[in-house]
Amino acid sequence: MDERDQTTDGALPPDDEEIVRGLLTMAGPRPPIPQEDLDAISGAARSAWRTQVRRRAPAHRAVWMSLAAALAVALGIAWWWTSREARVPVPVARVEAVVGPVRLENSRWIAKGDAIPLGTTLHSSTGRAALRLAGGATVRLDVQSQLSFVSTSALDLERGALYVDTGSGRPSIEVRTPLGTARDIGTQFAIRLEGSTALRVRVREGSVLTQQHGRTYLTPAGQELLLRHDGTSERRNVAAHGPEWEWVLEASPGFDIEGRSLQEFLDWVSRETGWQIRYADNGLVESAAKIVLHGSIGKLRADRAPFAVLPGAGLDGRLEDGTLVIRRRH
Amino acid sequence: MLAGEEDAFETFGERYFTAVYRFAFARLDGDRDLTREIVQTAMTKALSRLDTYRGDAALLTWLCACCRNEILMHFRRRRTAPADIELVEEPASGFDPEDQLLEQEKAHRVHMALDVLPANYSQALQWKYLDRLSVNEIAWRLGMGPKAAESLLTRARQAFRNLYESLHGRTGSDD
Repeated sequence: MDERDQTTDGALPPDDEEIVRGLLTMAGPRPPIPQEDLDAISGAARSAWRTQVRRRAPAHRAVWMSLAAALAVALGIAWWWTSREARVPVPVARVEAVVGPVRLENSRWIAKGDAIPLGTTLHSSTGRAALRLAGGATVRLDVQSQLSFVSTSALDLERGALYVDTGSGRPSIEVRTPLGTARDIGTQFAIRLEGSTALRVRVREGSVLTQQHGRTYLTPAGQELLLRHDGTSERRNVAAHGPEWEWVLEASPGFDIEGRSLQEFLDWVSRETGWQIRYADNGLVESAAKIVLHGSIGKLRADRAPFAVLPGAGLDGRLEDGTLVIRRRH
Repeated sequence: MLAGEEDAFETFGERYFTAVYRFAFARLDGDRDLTREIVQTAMTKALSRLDTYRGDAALLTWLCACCRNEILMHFRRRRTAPADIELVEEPASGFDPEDQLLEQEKAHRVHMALDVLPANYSQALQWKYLDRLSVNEIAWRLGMGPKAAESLLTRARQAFRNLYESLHGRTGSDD
């Protein structure tokens, strides 16, 4: 093949700078691939891979699982013993996930599983964290934030943003900030300090009471309240899903699907994303409770995981204006 | 990955699924549903017999071969061939359909090679040759010195070239 043939067919001559430039310029930018398609492929491939791994080394796995279990027991005993000796205060929260650097006090980085003692402060720079409070509610801390744990039901947000999910039947949480105090009534909400000038309370579910300068503001689901330092306020409608909640998904601790029903999984997706779940036919509602999931979704976020999990159950999911519609695959 | 390490699977997925998707999409006339279906099946089968991969061909080439087989089986099942290309406009003067197909095939190979390269390599190449950024600007964006950026670009070009050549004549010759 002569040099002319090589360049027209695509094979490269030895000196590559100009050829690489030419090829990239000719090809142009890569067209994006739909993320939900990649997630569906990843979900199916992951399932096949796990089956292959299980089939290949069952004996090794059993040995490792035994060792891991023994190690976990040993670590548990050691942790209990050292905690008892050092008389560490009862933890007020436990870390469920950390993405990027988040410091406890000014001393150490926190990691998944760490206990947060009462009266301490978390500082996030470029990191985010998800924590479960002793009372059962969960909170997520955004980047550039500072949060102190005053009690199991009171938190001081000095800067940045916090997301609170108290679920139902749990005690409400009070979030105190320099510009006002917010208390939920069974809800999911986000509270953000805009420097020292304003406080933004955005409610996804339930409602929130916010107090400032002796006045109380009620914010229902689907609304955002902006409270300025001078006491003026504004309201606007907000969706339960979309870019404004993006950072909350980034800090999600994920979901272990192994042995859980499809219904439980979809409940988690709905709670994380704010999407409604709708089944194309009534038979599917019953099926969803009976289908048991296996494997793992790895690090997939809740807004991507359904497109990986549903095909494995013979179903398809399509997002239509904030509603995930579940259909049988044909 | 056969040891069951989750991170290894994540890395594998990030590097190869996009490239294989692009490979199939180009051969299925841009039919998104069919592409997703076929790549899902192909990757499922490939990962089920991953222990038979001997490493004598590049992994991407092997995965593309699995995908190509799945595409052929699909058309065999349907007893059809992909639809012929229909020209709907008067071609411009000097237009050569064969040249255009070759160009498209080369562009697909370029995109697939960029998909499989480590992210900092493909990003640096795109900044340099598509966005026409200076080495200093690329160095600043990558958080390194200009010399280190230049060196990274050299390695990226070499890696791109190797990948592109490994795709040449293997994934494309069946079309």
